[in-house]
Amino acid sequence: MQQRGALRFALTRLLSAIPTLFLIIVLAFMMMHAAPGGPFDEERAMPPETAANIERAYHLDEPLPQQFMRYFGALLQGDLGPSYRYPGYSVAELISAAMLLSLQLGALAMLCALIVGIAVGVLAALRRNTPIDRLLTGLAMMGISIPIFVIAPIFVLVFAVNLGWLPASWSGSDSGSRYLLPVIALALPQIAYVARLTRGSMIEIMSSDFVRTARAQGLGTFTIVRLHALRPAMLPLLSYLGPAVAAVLTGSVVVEQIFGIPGLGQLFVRGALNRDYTLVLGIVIFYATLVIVFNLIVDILYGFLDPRIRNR
Amino acid sequence: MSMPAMFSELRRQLGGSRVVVVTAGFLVLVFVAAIVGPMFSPHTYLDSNLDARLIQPTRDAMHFFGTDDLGRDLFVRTLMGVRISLVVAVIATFVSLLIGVAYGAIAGYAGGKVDAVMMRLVDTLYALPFIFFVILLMVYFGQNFLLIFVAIGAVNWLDMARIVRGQTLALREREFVESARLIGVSPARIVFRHITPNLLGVVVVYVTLTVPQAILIESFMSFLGLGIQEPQTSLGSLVNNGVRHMESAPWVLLIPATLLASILLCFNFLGDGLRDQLDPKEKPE
Amino acid sequence: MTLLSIRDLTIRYERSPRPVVDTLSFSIAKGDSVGLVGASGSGKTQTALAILGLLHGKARTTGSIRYAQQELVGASERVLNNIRARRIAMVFQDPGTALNPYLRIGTQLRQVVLQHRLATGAEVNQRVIRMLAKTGLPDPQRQFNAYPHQLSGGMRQRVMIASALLGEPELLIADEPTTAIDATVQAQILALLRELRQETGTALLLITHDLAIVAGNCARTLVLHDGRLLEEGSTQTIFARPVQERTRSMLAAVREGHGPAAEFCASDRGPTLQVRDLTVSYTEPASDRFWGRSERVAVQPLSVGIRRGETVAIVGESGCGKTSLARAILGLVPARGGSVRLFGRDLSPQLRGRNNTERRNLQLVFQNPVASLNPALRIKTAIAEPLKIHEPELTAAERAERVARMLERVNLDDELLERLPHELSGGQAQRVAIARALIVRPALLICDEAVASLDGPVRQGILDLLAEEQRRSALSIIFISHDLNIVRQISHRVLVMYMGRIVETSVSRTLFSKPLHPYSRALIDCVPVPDPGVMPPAPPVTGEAPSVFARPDGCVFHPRCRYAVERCKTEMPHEECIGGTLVACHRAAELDLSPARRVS
Ligand code: SF4
Repeated sequence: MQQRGALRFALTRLLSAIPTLFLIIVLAFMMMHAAPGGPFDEERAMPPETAANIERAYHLDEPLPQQFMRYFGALLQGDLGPSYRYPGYSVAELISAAMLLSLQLGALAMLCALIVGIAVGVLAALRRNTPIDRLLTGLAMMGISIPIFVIAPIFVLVFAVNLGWLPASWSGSDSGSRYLLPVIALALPQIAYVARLTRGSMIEIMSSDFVRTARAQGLGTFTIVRLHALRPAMLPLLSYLGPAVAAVLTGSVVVEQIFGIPGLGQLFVRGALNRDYTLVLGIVIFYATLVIVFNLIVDILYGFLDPRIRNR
Repeated sequence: MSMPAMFSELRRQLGGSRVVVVTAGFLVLVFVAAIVGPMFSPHTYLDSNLDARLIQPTRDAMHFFGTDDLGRDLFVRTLMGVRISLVVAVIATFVSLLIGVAYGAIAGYAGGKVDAVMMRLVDTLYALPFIFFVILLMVYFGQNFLLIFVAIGAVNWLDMARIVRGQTLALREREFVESARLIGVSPARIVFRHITPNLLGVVVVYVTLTVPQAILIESFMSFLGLGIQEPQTSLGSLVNNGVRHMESAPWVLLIPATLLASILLCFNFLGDGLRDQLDPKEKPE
Repeated sequence: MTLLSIRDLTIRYERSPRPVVDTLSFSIAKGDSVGLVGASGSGKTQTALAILGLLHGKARTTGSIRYAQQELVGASERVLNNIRARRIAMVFQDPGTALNPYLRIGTQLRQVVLQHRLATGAEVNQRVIRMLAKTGLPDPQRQFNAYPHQLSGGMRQRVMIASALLGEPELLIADEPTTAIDATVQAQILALLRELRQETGTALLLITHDLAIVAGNCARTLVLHDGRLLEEGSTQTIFARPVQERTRSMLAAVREGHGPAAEFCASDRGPTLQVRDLTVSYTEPASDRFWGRSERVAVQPLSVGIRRGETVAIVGESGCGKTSLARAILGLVPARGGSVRLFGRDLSPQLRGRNNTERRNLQLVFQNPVASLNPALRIKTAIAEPLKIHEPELTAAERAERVARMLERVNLDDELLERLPHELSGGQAQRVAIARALIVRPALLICDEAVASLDGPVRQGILDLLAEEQRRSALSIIFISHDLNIVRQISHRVLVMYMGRIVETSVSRTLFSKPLHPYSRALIDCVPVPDPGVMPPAPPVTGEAPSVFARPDGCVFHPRCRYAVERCKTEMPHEECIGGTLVACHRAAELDLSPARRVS
C-alpha cells in the first residue's frame, strides 16, 4: 500500500482528537459548576420558591454527573441548552445566527494573510539582507507586536474619522466596503506571522544542499523557487494554520467589539460580561471544536504532503 | 552555579548586539519611569477634576499626557498601567517559567513513553484557543486580580515547556552527557551540572518572548472589560477608554496605544536579537 | 587545450581575517583528471564552489576563473546558468542531502534536461532513464518515480552522478564524492566515475582529503594547505618525490602504517572482558502493518574476549552493528541477551545497575571530540570531574596535581586548562577527551571511530598516544573503525562484522595477508592503494548490504558474494577455526583469498 504511513498518521491523530474534545467539554463543564455562586445570585433577592423553580427549570438541583450526562447527551444532538440571559432563545440558535458573519470575516482574513504573507515572505527571503528585506522584516515585527485592539482603532481614526474613506462601523453602511477595515485589522498580525515563517523557512531551504545542487544544474531562481523550494518551505506554514485559526478567533472578538459587528465574538463578550453561563460555555465548546477539527485536517494534510511520512 | 559564573556562561551563549542593547535600554527606561514617575506628579491615578476633562497634553498643572473623560491625569494613569503590565509580566512569566521548565526538563530527561505522553498533552493544549478558557475562568470566578496572572502564566508555559524539552532531549543525546554517565556522574548531577547550564541561554530568550505575550493577554482582557477593573487601570483599559473618545480627544487613545505597542515591540526585538545570538544561522563556514 | 584556467583566486569572508583561498592558480586541460587534495578547511570545496559561482553570499571572490574565454568571477547568473551542468557539472559530498527529499528522482533529473533544452517530449524521460541505467542504478524505470529517501546512499550517489552527466559536461567536479559512503560502495562509485570518464572523455576535478583516492584516479595532483597551493605536479611525481614536508607527512599517513606500537604480550591471566552470546536489538514502528512495532536486530548473538594490553579492532560498514556492540558492552543500550563479564564478574546490562568500580573500568572515546566535552565546562573541570567521583578522598591540590600530570601525558600545554571546549582544535579536544577517560585508570578503553574526524598528522598523533598509553599501563582497547588502514596500524586482533555478525576473527597481520572470509577480502580490496602505479581493481562486490529487516537466509553475505554456492542460500555457516582464525564461511577452507602481491 502506497500511503500507509500517511493513513496511520491520520488515524492516530483522529483517535487522539476525540478524547481531547471530550476532555475539554468535561473541563469546561466542571469549571462552570465549581464556580462560587450561581448565575442568578446577583439578581434582586427573590423568594425561595422562585429560586427553586428556576433551579428546577435549569436542572440545577440534580447531582453534577447527572447534569453532565444530560448536557452531554443534548450536546451530541447539537443542543447546547437554553440561554440564561436571552430568555426564549437556545444557545445553539444564538450561535448559529451569529456564526456566519464571523466565519466569513475569519476566512477572508486568513485568505488575505496567506496570499500577502507568503508573497512578502518569499520576497524578503530572496532579497535577504538587503534594505527591502530589512524593511519587510521590520514591518512584520510591528505587525506581530502591535495588538489588534491598538491597530484597529487607529485605522478607524485615520481612514474613517479623519480621511472619511471607509465606514467607521458595521451598521454605518451596508456596502462591501464595511468588510475592508475589519478584515485588514484581523489579517495584519497573521500576515506578519505568515511572512516571518515563510521568510525563515524559505531562507533555510534556499541555503540547503539540494538547492545548491539545483543551482549547480543551472536552474534559474524562479524555477528553483517554484519547483524545489516552495513546497518544503510551505510545510511549516501548514502546521501554523492550526494556531492561526485560534488567533483569528481571538482577534475577531476584539474586531467585532470595535466595529460593532453582530458576530460570535460580540455575542461571546456580552455573554461573558453578563455571566450568561450556558452561552459562554457553548461558544467555548464551539470554538474549541472548530480549532481541533482544523488542526486535525492540517495534521492529516501534512502526512500526505511530506513524502517521508507518506511512504514510511 | 554561582552568580558571576552564571553571567559569564550567559555571555558565552548570548553575547550582546546593538538591537539587544538598544531595546533593553528602552525597556529599562520605561519601567523605571513607571515606578518612580508617579511620585513626582502632583496627581494620583484616582483624583478626578471634573473641570479639567479631556484636556490636551500640556505642561500646565503637569498634565503631560492630558486628562481623561473624568478629568483624571493620564500621565499618572498611563504609568500606573505600565506598572500593572510590569507586575503581570513578572508574575505570569514566573509561573510559566516554573511550570514550563520543570515540565519540559522532566519530559526531556525522562524521554521515551513518559515524554511522548507528556508532549502529546502539550500539543493538545497548544491547539486550544486558550484565551477563551481564561475568559471562561473570569466569568465563573469573577474578575480576580491574582487569577488573571496565574491564568496567563498557565497559558504561557506551553512554549517554554516545548523549548526546554526539545533542548533537554537534544542535550541528553549529546555525547558529553553520555560521557558523564559513563564516568559515573549521578543523574542529579548530570541534570544540574551538565544540562541546566546549557539550557540557560534558551530559557532567557524564551522568557523575553513570554513577557510580551503575558502583557498582551492582560491588556487584551482589560480592553474587553474582563481584566483589571476601574478605578485601577492598565494599558488595555486605557486603550479601551481611548477608543470611546478618539474622535474628540485622539491623544487619550494614541498615548497608551503607542506606549503599549512600543513595549511589546521592544520585547519582541529583544527576544529575537537574543535568539539570533544564541543560534546564529549564518555562521561563516 | 586548456578548459579551465584559474589565476590568483582569492576568497574571503567578511568577518574572518584570513582568506579561505589565497592567490590560487591552476588550470585543467580537456580530458584531464586533477586531484585537489587537502585537509578539511584547506579551501578545496570553496574553490570548487567558486568555479560554479555557488559560494555563500557573504564570500568575496577576486582573481580570475576562465572557462573557454568566458570569465566566471563576477559573471551574471544567466551566463553561469549556461555553463552549469552544460559545461561544468558537480557532484556533491553527501547524496543524502544533495537531492530534494520532496521531489521524485525523475522530476529532479527531468528539470536538467528541460532547462538546457537537451530533449523534448517523450525523449526527456527516455534520456533521464538511459542515464540512470548508465550509472548502474538497478531498475531505473522504477527509481525514476522513487523519492530519494527510498534509495540507499550508494544509489543516491549514482543518481547525483547521472544528474551531473545529463548535460554532457566537459568538466566534472566531484567534491568528496565517496566520503559519506561505505567502503565497498566507495569502490563501486570510483570505478563508475573512471568508466564514465573513459566513455565520455569528460575532464575531472576530484576533491578529496584522501591521497590514496587521488593515486588511482587522477593524473595530476594539487596539494592545498590553508588556502594556498602547496605543491603541484603529476601524481607520479608527487608520490615519488614530494617536495614539501607537509605532503610527505600526508603521504606517510596513508601509506601502510608501522604496526601496533605496543607489542602484545599474552599473559596467563583471564581476559579483561568476556562477551558471550550478546544480542542487541531495537524496536521501531512496524513498516508493514498499521499497528505494533517490529524488532530490528542490530547484533546477532556473538561472543568475544579481550585480554590485558590487547587492542581489538572491530571493522565493518555502517549498520553492521559495531557501534551497537560497543554501546551494549558499555551499558548505554541494554543487551537483549547474553552476558558481559569484566574480570570474570557479570556486569548488569544497564549502566545504572553497575557500580562505580565497574563503570570506572570501561571508558569511551567518541568520534566527535568537541561534542563529547560539555561546552560550559572548562578543561580543567572536565578532566578533574571523574576524579571527584572515583577518588573523592583527594584534596583539591592533589586533584590539580593529577590533572596537570595527565595533561602532560597527553601532550597538552597547561595553558589550555582555563579554556572552554570550543576554543580547542579537534586534535586538542580529542586529547582532552582521552585524558578524561584515562585519568581514572580504566581497564578497557573503547574508541568509537575516535580518529575518523581528524586528518593526517593529527590523526597519527592520537594513534601514537593511544599506543603509548597501552604500553604504559597494559590498557585493553576496543577500536571501532571503518578504516582498514587505521585498523592495520593499531590493532592486534581484528573482528570483521557484517549485518550484525562477526564473520571473521583474525590476528591483524594474518587478516591482511591471508583473509579467509570473502567479505574480509572484499574490504581489503576496497582500500584505495596509495600508489599511482597500481591500477585500481574492479570493485570486489556489487550492491549494498540489505536492510536489517530483510536479512537474507543462510549466509547473510550470499547475495553479494561472488563465491556463493547453493548451500550458502539456505544454511547459515558457523564459526570454525582455521589456522588460528575464526571464520564463518562454508567455503573458507577451500578458497584461497590471499591478495595478490601489490606491484609498485
Ligand atoms: S558462506 Fe557462501 S556466501 Fe557466505 S561468504 Fe562463504 S562462500 Fe560466500
